[in-house]
Amino acid sequence: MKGLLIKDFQLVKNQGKSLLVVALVIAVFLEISGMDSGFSIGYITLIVSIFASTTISYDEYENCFSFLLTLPASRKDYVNEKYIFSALMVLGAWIIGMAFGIIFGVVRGEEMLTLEWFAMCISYMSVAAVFVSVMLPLRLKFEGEKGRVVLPLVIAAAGILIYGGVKLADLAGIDLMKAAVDVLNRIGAAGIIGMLIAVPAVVAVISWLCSWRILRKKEF
Amino acid sequence: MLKIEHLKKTYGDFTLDCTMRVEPGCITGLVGENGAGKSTTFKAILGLISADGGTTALFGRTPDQFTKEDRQKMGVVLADSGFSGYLSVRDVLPVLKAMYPGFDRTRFENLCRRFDIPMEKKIKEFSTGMKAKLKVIAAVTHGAEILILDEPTSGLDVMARRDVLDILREYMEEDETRSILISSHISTDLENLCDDIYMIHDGKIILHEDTDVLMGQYGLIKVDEEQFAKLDRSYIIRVRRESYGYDCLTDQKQYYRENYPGVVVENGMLDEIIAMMIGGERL
Repeated sequence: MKGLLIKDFQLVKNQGKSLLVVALVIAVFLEISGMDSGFSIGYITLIVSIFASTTISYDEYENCFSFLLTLPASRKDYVNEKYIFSALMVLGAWIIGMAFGIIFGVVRGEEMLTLEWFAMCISYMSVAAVFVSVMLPLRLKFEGEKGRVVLPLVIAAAGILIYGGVKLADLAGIDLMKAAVDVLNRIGAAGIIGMLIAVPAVVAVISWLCSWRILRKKEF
Repeated sequence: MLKIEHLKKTYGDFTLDCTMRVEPGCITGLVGENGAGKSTTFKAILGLISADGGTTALFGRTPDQFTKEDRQKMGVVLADSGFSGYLSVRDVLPVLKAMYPGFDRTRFENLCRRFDIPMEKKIKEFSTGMKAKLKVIAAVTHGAEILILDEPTSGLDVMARRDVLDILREYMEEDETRSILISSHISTDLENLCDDIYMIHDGKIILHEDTDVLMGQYGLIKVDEEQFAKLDRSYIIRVRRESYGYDCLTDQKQYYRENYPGVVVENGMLDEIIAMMIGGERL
């Protein structure tokens, strides 16, 4: 598994450098243009989480996948490695984004390091973790071109589901926004942080089980 | 070392049913046309596909029982797969070092230098020959006990093929207990390298013979109608109709040379033997 991790970090070194530079430049632009200091944290974290899931595409390039599985790494090792690699990438990007956000926040004299601010920062990581958790099994299931089509489809499907849900609630006379705010107020900042950690953790476990099942049955 | 018993796999109309062995210290060749079942057999041995029936056992274990140590004892080359094209050889080095405790970095680098493999260039920019040589170099430099090579010379020019075969010969000379299973549709590669050869056609093994026997005893008898009528058919394996009469494949060419002095008996080249086994008719 160590070998697979090294391989992915080599790919990051080769392919991810320009991506990170672009992310940083855009983040600087967003900050200068007066966006919230937390936005760059979310932006960088999400861009990197997208990249983490696309390393599977690099493994699929010219059929490399089958060769990788002839190396001393089992299919389970491969799945584990992808999750560990993605976690390291998201965490690393989040820390860089945080450092970046804090510097700008201090320069601007924004109020930071409050519980709410932390909750906001963690929420970006939670979203990134959920995103990677959804993408990894999909990337494993749908190879190459199909994989590229799946991403917009998933986003569209999620949008339709949320919109549909809100609409349905509206029709049923429930004010979802108010209900959500009520719930959040009730559980408080600490509760929200707990939820932001627990939800992605559960999603990640389900995602791992799906990925393992997909790869275990995959024929090359 | 490797034992395959009635390995079965079905894809639509194609059914593989393969039985073969690779003994310690032997280079065993698997030869057949494209689509004959060579790659399917290799994939099943390595556990890349699941078998529909039969068994494959390498080091006495089925693919789903392979341990990390088992995989470290294998050197694998797949025809259409290798390291990601987005990596350079320099990037691959630490990966191999982490994967294989027996990885010999100096030898790897020496072989790359000897065969003009660039260290810094991305693999996707390599020529077909460079890619093929890199795959073989990676397979032979970690002290593997068996090499499993699916079409390692496919698409290579004469010089590159010779280079690849040289690397394989050196690998065998280092330790006489090592084995190689190699497939190719270029039979001259196998004629000069293998101890024994399996011929696969339409998913079935149609011939297994020691290379010495194939080269020394197999022959092609060319006869007209009249000669054919008088020919002893006890040692004729296949017959094919030609414009001048018949081509007959025999595994006793000496017998015909001695008893039929007027008949042309050519030495059996593997290509001819394959063509006869596939295109010829049994008597």
